[in-house]
This record gives sequence, structure tokens and C-alpha cells, in this order.
Amino acid sequence: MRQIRFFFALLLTTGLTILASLHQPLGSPLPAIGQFLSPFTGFWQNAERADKFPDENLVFPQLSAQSEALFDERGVPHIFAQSNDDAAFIQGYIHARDRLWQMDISVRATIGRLSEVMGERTLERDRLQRRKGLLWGAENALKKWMSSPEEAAIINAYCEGANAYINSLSPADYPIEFKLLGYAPEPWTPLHIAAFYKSMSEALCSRHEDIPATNARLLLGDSLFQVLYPEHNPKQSPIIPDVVQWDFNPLPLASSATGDSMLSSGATRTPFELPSPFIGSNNWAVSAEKTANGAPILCNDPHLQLRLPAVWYEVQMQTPEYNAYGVSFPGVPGIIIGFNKNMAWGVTNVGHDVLDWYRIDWANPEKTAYRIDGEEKPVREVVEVIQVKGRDEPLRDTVRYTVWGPVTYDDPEHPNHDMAMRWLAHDEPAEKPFYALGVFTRLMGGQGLSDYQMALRGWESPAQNFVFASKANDIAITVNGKLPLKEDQQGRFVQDGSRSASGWKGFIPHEHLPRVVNPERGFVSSANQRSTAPDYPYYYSGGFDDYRGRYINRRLAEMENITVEDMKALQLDSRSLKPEDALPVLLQLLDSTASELGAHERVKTLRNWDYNFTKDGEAPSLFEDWFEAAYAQAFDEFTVWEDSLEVLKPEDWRFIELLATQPGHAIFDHQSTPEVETAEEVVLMALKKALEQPPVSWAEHKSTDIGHMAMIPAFSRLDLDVGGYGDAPNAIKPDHGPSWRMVVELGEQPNAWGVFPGGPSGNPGSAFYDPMVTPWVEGQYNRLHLLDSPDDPAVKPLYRLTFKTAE
Amino acid sequence: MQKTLSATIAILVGGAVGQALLAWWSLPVLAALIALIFRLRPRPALLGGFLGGLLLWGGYAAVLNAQNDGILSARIGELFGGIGGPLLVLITGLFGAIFAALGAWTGSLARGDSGS
Repeated sequence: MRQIRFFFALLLTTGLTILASLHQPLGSPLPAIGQFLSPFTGFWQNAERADKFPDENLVFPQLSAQSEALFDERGVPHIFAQSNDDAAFIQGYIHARDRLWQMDISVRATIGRLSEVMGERTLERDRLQRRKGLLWGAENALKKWMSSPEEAAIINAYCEGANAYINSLSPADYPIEFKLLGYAPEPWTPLHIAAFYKSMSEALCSRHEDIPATNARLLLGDSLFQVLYPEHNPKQSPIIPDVVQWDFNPLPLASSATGDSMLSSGATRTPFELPSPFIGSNNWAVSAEKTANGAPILCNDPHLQLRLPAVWYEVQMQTPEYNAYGVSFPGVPGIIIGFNKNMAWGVTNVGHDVLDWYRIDWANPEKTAYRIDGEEKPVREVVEVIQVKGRDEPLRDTVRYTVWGPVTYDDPEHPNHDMAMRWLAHDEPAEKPFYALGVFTRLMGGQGLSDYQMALRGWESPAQNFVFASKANDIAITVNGKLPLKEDQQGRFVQDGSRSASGWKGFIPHEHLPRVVNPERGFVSSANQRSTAPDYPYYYSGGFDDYRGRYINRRLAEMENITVEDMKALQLDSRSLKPEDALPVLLQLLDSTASELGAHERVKTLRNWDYNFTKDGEAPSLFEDWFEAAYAQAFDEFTVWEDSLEVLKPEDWRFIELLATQPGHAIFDHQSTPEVETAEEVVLMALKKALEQPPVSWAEHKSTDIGHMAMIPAFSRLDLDVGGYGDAPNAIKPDHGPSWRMVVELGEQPNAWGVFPGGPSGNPGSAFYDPMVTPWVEGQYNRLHLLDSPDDPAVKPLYRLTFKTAE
Repeated sequence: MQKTLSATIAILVGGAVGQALLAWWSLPVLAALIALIFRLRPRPALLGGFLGGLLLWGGYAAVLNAQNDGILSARIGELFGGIGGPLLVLITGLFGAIFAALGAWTGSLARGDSGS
């Protein structure tokens, strides 16, 4: 009897214990619950002390000299090291300490290794990332970077620092997401750094409209296409003011009649989603003559995905070669946007199209060779091996590489649609004395204009508008990066991959990149609009902003005696030129219908609206609904096509222009009615539809979320009560927006301010996880302290880490 | 009763030392060993194990939670269906209690010679 009881007890205890030790037991989404709940190993271990912050001594023989990192009241590290490599080591250590899971998952997502830890559900995504050649691009970049001793030293030191932290961890110390997902961190390698850079290229310069534009031209016919998709917005206010003269002789371009080589048939779907068009940014600098204190001011607010842990990591880094403050990317060394005592710099994205599609002419059904200029060339087959959690065998996927790049799309169901991807970010960088990381080292230690100009020579991709201001009162902006040399219209449509003449003609020489130094108007600025006026001698197309740049330039031209507060206010300005352009046209068309809706209470609020997308306003919500409905009604043809094809839609500014200037245009005719509609009817129908929506505040309408990277709502900040608009300087969208706001006045001592919606820590169990979200929502800034020494009285350190070389 | 209390204390002390180094399931194993060593009968074993596990896991979780101002438990509680931090401490304690009790019970039954 007793034995039976014993065996029963043993079976029950063992069974339950095993069950509680399984990850995702019985198909549930639960982590291994025993381990997860255990206060010794599980999530409780991630409950960071919020009451005490003890100093720590750490010993790393890899360091050349004793160093120190002090953490100020906001938990921002100030690193004091005796060499650049030591500083990189400590930055790697601290990044890993605060953001390890974010680093890990960002790189997995980029190079297609999510399924190793997430299982089947991310398999298709991984497959696509592999087919896009992200890893290949990272390897190509790294090859060159590691050939530069300076670059290699920083990369290796950073990885050593990150790994020093990773190696110190026991499973109980792993960031909570590792525990939830049931996997362990792996060492951080130089390839991870390069892959992170490629993730930025993917986010910022992989936008491509070749296929939807080809489809649109096929469906609409060339003449209507030209009407709906003009390349230049006449109202545009380019980054380089049009008074600038180009002081170079442009390279001659041998014409290859690209126009003929563009596809005239073969409409198809794009192989992958276009990156979000919401990615944009603002930066500007005003010269001392325009400021109240007689010191230049530089501002930057990059608009990236809003997420937790935040994309940025704030840091000060001091070595004998530099003393700089700004924001870094967890996972890579250096400060990307920042300032020192002499100068400040910032970036916005360049919208030039650097990803083109080429249709492949296969030489055989097995697709082992393709034809180019009548000659057969073998493909290079790369077998991608994707490990999948829960599967015994990995998925093997063969990707064919051509002279253009990987054949991303070779769906056997559509044999004619195979296309290769020519993407600048795949390229091995050109031979240079230094590369991406050296760029930031030089900016961090820069003394003034010539250092800024020298630093930019190392930068290739993603191309950025680098803004600059110095204490010596130089201001400048450069549309900087490797940009393909194209003939007119090249890359706007899918190209014929069977002719070598369809290829890019080279690259725009660095000296010919659009730039301006100390323009007469006293400011430089960019907001992702076109780089230049149409007289720039090289052709480029791409995705460009139409409203923020114009508005910012208008405001900066008007402003005098500018203060830091004025600059903050401009970053927080939610007024937009889009309704300023569109609303009078909509109202005028409405009034010409003599509809009684013209006197509707809610329409009256629109008439009195100041185009400001405030959080409480209802007018912005109605405007947005009305505009969207009018656009959808006008381009109703597209909704039919969109079921089977991606078709490029006209830009908003062109729609507004057509409403204003050609209200009788055939595009306004509604396809489903026998009558012939004009813009007036479209506008009226759209208003009726918009008024069906109950009035809501703009914050509610827009619904901005800062989601956790693994979409865990409990780790997110949802439904923020915040205004802003994608086409206003304060470009807060539902999940994109100003991911860092920085204002730096370069006086005797820099007077710098900044904020990002998050915190230093990536740990949801830390008091430093999201403390800046609310101040960010409320438009507050933190003072940024560039300390002279670890004992600088400007901040009261919360705690210090001392990095010793020996016990 | 004294034996039960001693077993409880032994689980607390042994767990505090060993649980951070060993897997979580060392808790029922430890409880089983202690029940064996203390020659507990099944009922006192269940009680001693339960109390030991409750205090060990619940107590430690409560301390960590207090030092953290409940920041994390609020978020994890939300993740597990909107329970509050204090309830999460209790659940943690009960989980430890159940497994320690089961272990101790099994251990008490492992001795074939007495107790019935």
C-alpha cells in the first residue's frame, strides 16, 4: 500500500515538475513556468532595485587603462576612458548590460534568424530577409571595415566589451525577453555590428516603387501617368537652396536608351512590403546672426519607429581624442547624433532611390543561368539554411545571385516575373582610409568645418543629410552618401536585366554631392524633401517629403533673435502645410456645390482651424477623414486593381493640385456610377462619409502607440494622449515619430537639450525603462550635460562603474 | 510539530543556498531529501514542505518586489491576465509551496519502514 502511494506521489511530483519545466507546454504560449516563476532564476530576478544603486568595480585586463562610467540622475552613462578602444569596450559593455535582447532581436530580424528562437511563425519573414541578401550586404561591408586597422580596432573592442558582459551572465541574469521566449544570448560579433547597419539601410534606403510604378503606367497609359506622377513639386523648397551654383563639371553620361529597356509588360506584385513611408526626420542649423545669444543652434529630430526599448541610447564618451555627447544605437559603437564643445551634427534620411529591380531572362528552365547581352552567365547559388525551433530539419532555400544582385522573387507560379534586386546597400564599400565607424569618431572629435567635411568622406549608406554647426559659426548641410549615377527616368520602373546597358552608370563623385556651407539666408535645413532644385545636373528619383521641409524653411526664414526655446517650439510645432494647401481647395469646391453641409457645425470648426494638429482638436480628425475619403473616391480605380497588384498612387500634393486646377479631370469620375462626377461631387461625397464618423479628438483618432519590440502590450505604452502629424515638424504618427529631439546652442559652453520616448534601460523591470515617455509626450526636454571630468559638479552621479585592468 | 518546523527551516536555508545555483526543480528534490532525512510522516511532510516552499519563494519574491517598487510585477501581472503585483507574489509563493509539498510528501513516502 505504502509503495503504491510512494509511486503515485513520485509520478505526480515528477510529472508536474516536468510539465512546469517545458517551454510552451501543451501548445500554450507560456514559458517554462517553473523556471519563469522561480524568484531565484525567473522574472523576479529582472526586478531591478529601484531604491539603491551601488557603485561597482569591474576588472577587465583587455582595457589599456583604468576607466570610469558614471550614471547621472536619469541613468545616462558618462564614459571616461584613456583610449578610443577602451571607450568602445565600455560602450559595448554598457549597451549589452542595458539593451542586450534588443540588440539580439534586431539583428536576428535583419538577417533572417528569428525562427531559430520563435519557430514556424517567423519562417516566411526569415526566408524573405535571406532572399533580400541582408547578410550578404553585411558581410560585404564588414570585409572592407575590417581591412582598416582603425575600424577593426573599434569594432573588436566594442564586441569584447559586449561579450565581457554577456559572458558574465548566468541564465538568471538574462533579460526577461530571453526568459519569456526560452533562449540564451549569443556572443556579439563584428558581423552583428555590420548587420545592424544593414537594418538601418533596410529601414531607410530600401524603398522602391519600380514595380508599383510600372504597374501604374501600364494600367493608366503613359500620358495619364505623366499627369498624375510629375517628378517635381513646383512648391518644393529643396534642401540646397536654389540660389546655390553647382561649381563642378558633371560627369558625361553615355545614353543607353534606358527608356526602351524599361518593361512594357509583366505587371506583378512586389516581393515584399515597401518600408514605411513614415520614416522621415528634421534637422536644421541657424547661424549666430539669427540667434538671440549670438551663438549658432543645431537641431535634429529623427523620426523612426516608436518602440520600446527605444531605438536610441543616450551617452557621453570622453577620451583624449574626443569628448562628445549624443545618442548611439545599442549594438554599434560611437555616437550617431550629437555634439562636442566645438560643433554639433545631426542626420535626416536622403530619399534617393538606390534599389532597382531587373527582370531576369533565364537561359534554361532550371534557372542555373541567365542571359545578358546575348551571353549566358551562370547564377551563383546560395543555399540558405534556416534553423527553425521545433523542427528537426532546417529549411533550405536556394537563392540565385546574378550580376544585379539576388533574385529575390522567383515564385514558380509566375515564371516571367523573376526579378533581381540591385541595391546599393549590398555593395562592398569603395576603398577608403576609414568607413562608417570612423565617420562618427571624427565627428565626435571634430573641431570645426573641415573635420566635418573630412569625416563625411567615409560615409556611404544609407545616405543621410548631415547637418552641421560649429562654435566658430559655420553651418553646413551635405546630402551625403554613395548615390548611383542614373540617366533620366532610370530606376523609376522595372528594368530589363538582359542588357548590361540597363545598369547604373557609376556613382556621383563625392565632390559633386549637393551641399551648402554658410548660405546667405543664415540657416540650413532638411526634412527629407528633394535634395536640390531641378537644375542639379544628375538625375535622381525617390521618395521625398512635401510639407515639413517647406514649413520649416518658411519659419526659419521668418525667425530672428532665435532662442533655444524657439527651436524647441519649432520641433514641437504641429501645424502643417498640407491642410493649409488642401483645406481652402476642399472648402471652395464644397461651397460651389451649394450643399447645406457647408454650414454644418463641424465644417465651421474646420473653417476656423489654424492647421494645428493639437491632441484635443476635433478639426484635425475631420480634415484627415475628409481628405482620405476624397482621395479614395478620386482614385477609386486603384482599389479595384489593388486586389491583385501593387499600383503606385499619386502623391498628396499632386492630388491637391489637381483638385485646385483641374476639377473636371476624368480621374474624378467615379467608376461605379453612370454619371460623370467632377471634383465637386467627389469632395461632397467624401465629406458626407467623413461626417458619418463621430467627432473624436485628434489624439484618439491618430492613436499613437509605443509598442514593445515583441509586441507585448504589458511592456508597451499604448494610446498616448499626444498631438502631432506626419506632415508637420512634430511628425508623430501612430507608430513613428521623433525618436530623439535635440537642440544644441554652441556658445562658450554648449547649451544642449534632448529627449527620447523611452529610457536608458531595456528592462521592463527597471525604473529606467520608460521614464522619458511622459516628458516626451508633454514636449519637455532634459538638459544634456557634457561633463569635463568624472568629478564635474554639473551632475550628481547615481552610481559609478570603475573599470580596472587588474584587481 | 517541531520536526515539521525544522523541515520548513531546512527547506528555507537549503533553498536559499541552492536555488540560485541549481534549476528550479531542485526545490521538490530538496524537500524530498529533507523529508527523508528528518524522517517525516506524510502529513507533516506536506505541511512542512508547503510552508517552506511558500516562505522561500513567496518571501523572496516579496523582498525583490518591494525593492523594485513593484514596477516589474505590475507589468508581468498584466501579461498574465491583469492580476496585480501582490497577487503575483502570492502565486509565486503558492507555486513554490505546492512543489515543495509534493517533493516532501514523496520523500516521506520513500521510507518503506514506518509512518503508517
